[in-house]
Amino acid sequence: MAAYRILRGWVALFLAGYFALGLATVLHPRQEVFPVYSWFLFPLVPGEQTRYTLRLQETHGQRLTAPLLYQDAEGIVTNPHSVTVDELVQQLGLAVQKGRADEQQRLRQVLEKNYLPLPCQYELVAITFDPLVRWHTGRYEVKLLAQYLSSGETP
Amino acid sequence: MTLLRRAWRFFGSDSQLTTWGALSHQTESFYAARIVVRCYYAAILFFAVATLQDWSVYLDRRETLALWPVCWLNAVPLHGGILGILIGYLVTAFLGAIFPARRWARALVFAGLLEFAALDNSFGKISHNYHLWVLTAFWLVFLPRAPVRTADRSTRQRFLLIFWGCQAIVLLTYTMSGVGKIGGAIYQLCSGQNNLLLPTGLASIIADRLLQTNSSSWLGPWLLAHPWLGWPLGLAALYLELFAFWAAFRPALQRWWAAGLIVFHIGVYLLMGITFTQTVLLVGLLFLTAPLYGDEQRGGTIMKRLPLLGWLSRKPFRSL
Repeated sequence: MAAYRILRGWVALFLAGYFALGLATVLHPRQEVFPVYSWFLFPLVPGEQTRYTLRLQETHGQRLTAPLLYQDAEGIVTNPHSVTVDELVQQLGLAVQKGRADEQQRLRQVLEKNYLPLPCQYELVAITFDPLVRWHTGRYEVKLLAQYLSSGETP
Repeated sequence: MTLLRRAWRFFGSDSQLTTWGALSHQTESFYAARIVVRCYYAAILFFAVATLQDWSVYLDRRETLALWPVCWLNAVPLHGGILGILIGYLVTAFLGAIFPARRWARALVFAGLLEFAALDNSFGKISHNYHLWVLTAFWLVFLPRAPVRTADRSTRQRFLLIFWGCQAIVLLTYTMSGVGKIGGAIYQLCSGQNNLLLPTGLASIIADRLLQTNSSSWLGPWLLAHPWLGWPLGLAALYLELFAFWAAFRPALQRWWAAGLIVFHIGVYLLMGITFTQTVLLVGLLFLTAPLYGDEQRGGTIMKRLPLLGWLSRKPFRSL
């Protein structure tokens, strides 16, 4: 039974440790140290907010008739509804706002090499909206933050 | 140990067969848990084989934001490294399904799964489909060698404890999610903001989620047209998540709690388009079979064992 009691202590320690460390990851920049996570999925109800998105101007070297948000670029990009791209763009937006050049470069590399139709020209924009208002009226405000060429240049 | 006993009493219910009691029926529980563990490794093999169709997508990747378990990818040719992880995942899953009783095979499965899950999450976003499989695979490495005919009482007890540890970590993550939601709701309530306890709370979350990627869902637009319907759904989900950990200590609840969590995941898919198929399978495996309880479940006793609601339902009768 001694082995059982020791094992029971380890199980309890593991559960308590995961709970404590998981909650502590909220303080981590990426909010997670895989596979330890707070599991805070949708903890806050979103009100008026600013999010970042990409606006495509030129894809496969050809100019689009009108600039197009990435999530609306059906038939132009492989998966316009990708949550991974959305998450990368949020990270890129924060890096731009905070002036972190290295991080911007790294995130652009991942976006361009994995998810954008190259060569392309695109913008990083901030859109401000209230989800319920935007859902019912389609209204949101757009602000240009940066322009990029897929070759790594900034026009 | 006193602390552990106190914790067990806090989460357990005085009107039920406790986990300790359930463990006394250990031979029956041991047989059931043993079969569930074998099915668990067969399920991992299924995932590994199902991943074959995505190999080309992974191999086409030309840049990563590697998580720590796969940080070595930065030091090797990316294509070869990814191929190695995918082959390793398939081979270890195969070995685990054939030799689930061998610790070395279970350790290899854990390593293969950890590497694959880390790779899958190394392209910019960490999704949570495989987290619970990684955590439970880690615990199952420590299962004692327990041949069905010769395992003694102590070995069977340790086997069941590890199995229970897997159940507990899964339920704990739901409770953590519930803690986040209730904490967020209280914060927003105090700040005078819209929150999950208000009728439009869930509708706002759904609208935001669908707008983020311009995606659609089966029932999301309908609920946004009738946002008040989301109120009871949001509160029910909050209850299920927040008190999930209690079910680990109340085996009689497990089957029903698992059913509730699976309905919750189906609802999340229908409303927000987010799938948690891997998690649903794990919840089904670990709880729907209720290996720590058996089949004798009556509605009245289940109600009494529900955290908070059971206490509230007994309160009026106490005063009579």
